[in-house]
Amino acid sequence: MKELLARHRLVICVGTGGVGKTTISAALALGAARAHRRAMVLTIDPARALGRALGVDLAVGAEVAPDLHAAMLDQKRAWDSFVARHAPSDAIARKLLGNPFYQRLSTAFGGSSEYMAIEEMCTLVESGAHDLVVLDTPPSVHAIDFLRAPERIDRLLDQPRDFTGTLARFVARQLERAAGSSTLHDIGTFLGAMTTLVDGVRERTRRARGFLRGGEAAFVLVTGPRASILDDTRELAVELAARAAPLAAVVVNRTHPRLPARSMAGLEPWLAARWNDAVTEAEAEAAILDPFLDALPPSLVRARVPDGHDICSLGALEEVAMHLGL
Amino acid sequence: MLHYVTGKGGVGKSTIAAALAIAAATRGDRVLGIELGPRGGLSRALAGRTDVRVIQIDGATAVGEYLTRRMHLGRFARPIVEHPLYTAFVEAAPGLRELVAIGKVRDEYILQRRWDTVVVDAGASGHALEHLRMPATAERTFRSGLVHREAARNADLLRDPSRCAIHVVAMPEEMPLAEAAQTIEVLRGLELAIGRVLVNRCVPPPPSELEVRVDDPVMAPVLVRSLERARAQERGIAAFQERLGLPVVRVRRLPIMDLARHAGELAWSLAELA
Repeated sequence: MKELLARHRLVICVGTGGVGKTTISAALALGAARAHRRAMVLTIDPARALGRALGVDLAVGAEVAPDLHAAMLDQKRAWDSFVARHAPSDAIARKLLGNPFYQRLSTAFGGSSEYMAIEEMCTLVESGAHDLVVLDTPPSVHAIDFLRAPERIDRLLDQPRDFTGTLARFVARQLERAAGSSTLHDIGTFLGAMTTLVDGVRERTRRARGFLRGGEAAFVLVTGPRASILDDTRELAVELAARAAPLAAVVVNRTHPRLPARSMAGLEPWLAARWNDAVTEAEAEAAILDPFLDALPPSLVRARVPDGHDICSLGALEEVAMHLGL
Repeated sequence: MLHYVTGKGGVGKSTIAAALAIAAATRGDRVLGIELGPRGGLSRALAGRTDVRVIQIDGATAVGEYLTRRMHLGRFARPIVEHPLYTAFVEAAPGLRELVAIGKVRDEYILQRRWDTVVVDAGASGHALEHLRMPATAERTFRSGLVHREAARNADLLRDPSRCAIHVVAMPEEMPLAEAAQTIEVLRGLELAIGRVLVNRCVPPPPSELEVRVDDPVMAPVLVRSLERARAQERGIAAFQERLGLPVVRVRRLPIMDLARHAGELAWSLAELA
């Protein structure tokens, strides 16, 4: 893992919801910082836990340890500054910011938080202020949404704006029946204003794709020792490969080591039951986890992080980093 | 009954949804399972069962089908859904996909009358809430027209406790339970039909004076941690109940890794909820 961090400028942690991506991202960045690389971990809006654990307000970004910066992506703000950056005039920017469709896009459009994470990541990498940027991806319904986001934004902007033909007028009439005329007017204004951003955005998405697939980026797949999570992880690995994303490591978070047999003579019954549970669970876990890890391509770095190290302090992160081989 | 199962990622939503479906099927109901999104945990947990059917509803494709059917477009449907104006509309329209997904659930459940019980696995993370919020939001965004009327009808279904129960699944830890409480408050604000709060992977409450007095260096830390977690579970549940005045259903922790077997085991204890 040390070598992986040393060889890349961008590490992207992906995985299904609830596996502890934020913890792993932060620990990777901390590990790099300990090796005297200027590291930045970028987490996504709901992950306030990291800021709380480190005692800083991530909304403004902060140096949380020597050489380690952390920041949280505020989606709404990121979109607003994105519009301000790419709009050809203040008038168009204002028109967009006030449009109900834009407001919806900036908070809840499918793939919108993913896209902004990528946008923010590009800005960070290009700023040159950091040797390594670790990106904690948003909790998507589908983790692969992250890689699809640039294409979706491109497609949204790609619509032809000339709707004067007979068929177009017919379609517009049908949509008006469906959505009501005021809604259609809002959408039209929104799309019209968005068009003016096309060139800037297209350039961005092109660069983002380059970053994600170039030699400087590495994907780290975070997973957990449960059958359902491992199933999702397998599917995700296949999709990453299909999209030529450079997968470099798999981290299994919250694992439990196998436990030895022990006599429970004299043990309080509640505790005896918990010990039994722990032994059975560890066995069941090994039975699904070992074949999973064995089936991974040998070139992938793999790490197990034992349960009990969720982010509650910098010290806890240090321990996670140690388990990651850092 | 329409059961809507929500909760954060990784809490075992799909297993609980599958257990509800199995329980209903076992008593003889015609049961449909619905996944909002691609095939996932619910399909896997119900794989091989002949008494429950599972379908996937994907917002983007559903929009085409739904609008076509509702607007009686017939042979004009194809040129319309392939038109760039339509594509732009569907991509940009706030919450249209979520609204249509809910509308399709309603179609399956109410209009076709083919099922006694429908269980919806609402997918990972905060998106479940996004879906449930949508009919109310769409009612406001689309101030007139077909979508507005659809939204109103869907909102009515989600608000009707005689037809719908929205369950929230949580983990027995303080933060996840606090988040579940927040979800319930949002659902209350939307006046939706709240079902039960299911706390998954609960251990039995520990005896109150219990202390770990074990010298074994392997056993001691495992037991200390178990006890700490169980105490945190009790604190979390107490805080939840105090905040909302709502009882929770404790779903016991099972040392089973196989999804289908796990769901089957839980079905018995969840029978009365289904």
